[in-house]
Amino acid sequence: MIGRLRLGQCMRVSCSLVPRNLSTTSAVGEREKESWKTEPEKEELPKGEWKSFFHYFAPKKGITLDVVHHLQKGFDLRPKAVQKWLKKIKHKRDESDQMFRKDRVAALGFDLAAAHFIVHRGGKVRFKGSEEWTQQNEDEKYDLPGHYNENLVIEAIDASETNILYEGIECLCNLKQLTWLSVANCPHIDDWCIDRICGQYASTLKHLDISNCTKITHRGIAALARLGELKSLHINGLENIRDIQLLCLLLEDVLPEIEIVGIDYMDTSSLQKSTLNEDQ
Amino acid sequence: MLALTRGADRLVKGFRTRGKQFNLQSWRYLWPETRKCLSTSGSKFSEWEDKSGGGSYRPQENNPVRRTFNILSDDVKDYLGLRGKPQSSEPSDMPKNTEENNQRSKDAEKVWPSFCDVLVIGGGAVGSSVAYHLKERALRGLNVVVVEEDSTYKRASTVLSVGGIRQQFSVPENIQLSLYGMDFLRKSPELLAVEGMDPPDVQFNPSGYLTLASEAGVEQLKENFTVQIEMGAKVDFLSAQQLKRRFPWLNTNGVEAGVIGLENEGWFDPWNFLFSLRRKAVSLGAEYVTGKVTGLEQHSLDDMITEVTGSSVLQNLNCAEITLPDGEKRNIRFSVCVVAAGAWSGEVGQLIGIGKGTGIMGVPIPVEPRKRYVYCVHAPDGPGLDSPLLIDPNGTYFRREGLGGLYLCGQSPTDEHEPSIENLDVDYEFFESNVWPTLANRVPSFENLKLQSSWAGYYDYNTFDQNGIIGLHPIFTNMFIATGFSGHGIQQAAGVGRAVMESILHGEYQTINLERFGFERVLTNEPLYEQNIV
Repeated sequence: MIGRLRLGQCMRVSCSLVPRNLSTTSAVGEREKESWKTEPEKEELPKGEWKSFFHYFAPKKGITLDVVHHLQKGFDLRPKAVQKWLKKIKHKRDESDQMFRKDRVAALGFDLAAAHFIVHRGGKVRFKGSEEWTQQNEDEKYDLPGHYNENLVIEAIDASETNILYEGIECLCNLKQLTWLSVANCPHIDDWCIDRICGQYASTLKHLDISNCTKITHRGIAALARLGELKSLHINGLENIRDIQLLCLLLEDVLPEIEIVGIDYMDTSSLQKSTLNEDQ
Repeated sequence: MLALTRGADRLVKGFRTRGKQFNLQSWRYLWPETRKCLSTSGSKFSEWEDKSGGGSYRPQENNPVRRTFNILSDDVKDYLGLRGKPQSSEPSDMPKNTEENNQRSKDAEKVWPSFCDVLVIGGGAVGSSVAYHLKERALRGLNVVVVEEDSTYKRASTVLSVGGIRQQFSVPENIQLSLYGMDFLRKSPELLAVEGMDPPDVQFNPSGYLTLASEAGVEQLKENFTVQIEMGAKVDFLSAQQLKRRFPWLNTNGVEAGVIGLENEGWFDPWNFLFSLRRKAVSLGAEYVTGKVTGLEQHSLDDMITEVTGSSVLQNLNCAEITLPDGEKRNIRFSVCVVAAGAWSGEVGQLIGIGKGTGIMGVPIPVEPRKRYVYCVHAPDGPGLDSPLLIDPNGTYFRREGLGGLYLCGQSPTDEHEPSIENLDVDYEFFESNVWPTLANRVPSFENLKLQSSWAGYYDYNTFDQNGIIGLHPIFTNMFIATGFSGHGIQQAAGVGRAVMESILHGEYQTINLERFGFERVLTNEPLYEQNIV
């Protein structure tokens, strides 16, 4: 039986019709067995075969799928479609702008890198031990050191009304003493951003302001229970979230010292109309 | 001889066959647009020319100047927002082979897809994900047909699952697949949006997973934790005291340590996910056929000489026999086949003899249905909003459901107590004797819980090593297998769909290397176990 199975393996290797170049990507790293193939295949002209001069211009690989894909997709030139496409490009550009950059952190350390990131995009930071907020002035210039300084530790970030995205919150990672965070009026903050905030600042965050972030749903608010140190939560403008008053009461159960501003949940008459029964 | 080039060309013309100058079958393959023209529907031209924008509610104009004026005026009205909300006034970037159009033109009959490029057997999460990724990449270049036995998905594992997603695995590829699955879910409102319909909402609850380990399992937990951090999962290691401090409702007797997910872990709604995938695949042009695959034809590839034996045993699948719900049998010819039939993939393999025979053909696809129960309980004093999906060292799990004190829980039975798979009836004895004691022990406030409801579903259980089987079959050169996920299929569906798409279109894995999940490991008896925590 085993002999026959080994036979199968050999036959598999020599089968040339089906493309079997199962390449080893670096993501998995050095593991014992990467590929079932024993040696790579090479498709070259055998020695001595005549090649014309134009052979040197021949592409090594055929036409790629990307080209075919774009040819098939066609061009949608209607005004609405062009508008949508422009918005999409802008969003993609913002995403790549807010990606986490290792070189920034390597040069400045986590705190200063986050400070530069936020202040450059219109936010404010406050360092531990100081009362002033650092922000950019009308000429978009700001005063932050360009080298790592271990005494500068961020205590508060005010990212309200910036265009911060899910990728951007990752740039604010590893802030060991962040206690105050505001992302109020940021249009792109949704449940996944709440997940990221809870994951990154669970041990230190004491104040969170997510007012007017309309993409957040009741699931995001429920996830805020993971912030064990939270003492103050501002959720103005989020009255339309399902069962928000019940959520506030449940948050109080889990986080006894929390103070929730923005929702009037002590008025129990509206609780009777809640959608609690839908859950059950 | 046909000069074949790699890539989509091969899929269009079929594999090389011996002797024939040109393949008569390939002449019968026509682009979908041409096929529509030749269809027997009376309004064939209106269907074909009914492109995006104009909308089919406008009566057809014969005067070209008038027609142009109508289209331009519609565009202007759209741009200025004057048109209100008509059916399909928004731009679409896909061929108009949608189900809506088919139903709208009254004398158009649904053309049976008697040939296609890729046949996906099984329309659950994995099958739909394969169809979506293929169509999204190849657009009109590939004709994809998905055969699903039950359009209501009564027995499908996808919709009966609890819907959890986690990165706490020990096999690195599993972690990568799950990370991509999470990314896909997050981007699903854009990726799976269909014009004119509500964007999908997978209802993700970012509450995290908590895996507990007893003293016997702490070492394994630490190893798994190291691998997870290495692969980029965001998890944290907690000792028993930290667990006690953080979760006061947890009884840490017998628990040495735990790993909690900080990000990208939680649970979502699998029905919504499946529905959005299917809807998007259909809008991109994939065709869903309701029926059961009852036969697969193969022919031997005699012109492939192999090094060792000099003769060939390699087979090529070329035709599937579908039994429709009313008993009628029809055929679909295809070029590539993907078996994503979930718990019934072993049966599909038996249709072509994988499992009957000698040598390689004697090894069946080791996937069979295993019944698992999910119980919905009500505990008024249970853990609050901060409870993650908790996994006890003996395998029992529970998670919060909604805000009214409801919890979903379950346990995987040991091998001796495997329930019978004939039906989806629930065994309440199992709850009383196995699940409740563990829950009450781990969380004391569960002692006074009340069982509200329950249901059962099948795992596509891989009896070999409980991890997915992804890849080509060694004998059948055009049959891909994507099944056997044994309970974590829903989180890996997106990643597996993309991997199969890469195998078909590029011939190699380009993003996540899933070679270790190939069927070959079953043949050489090298299991790839997920190191479970005890």
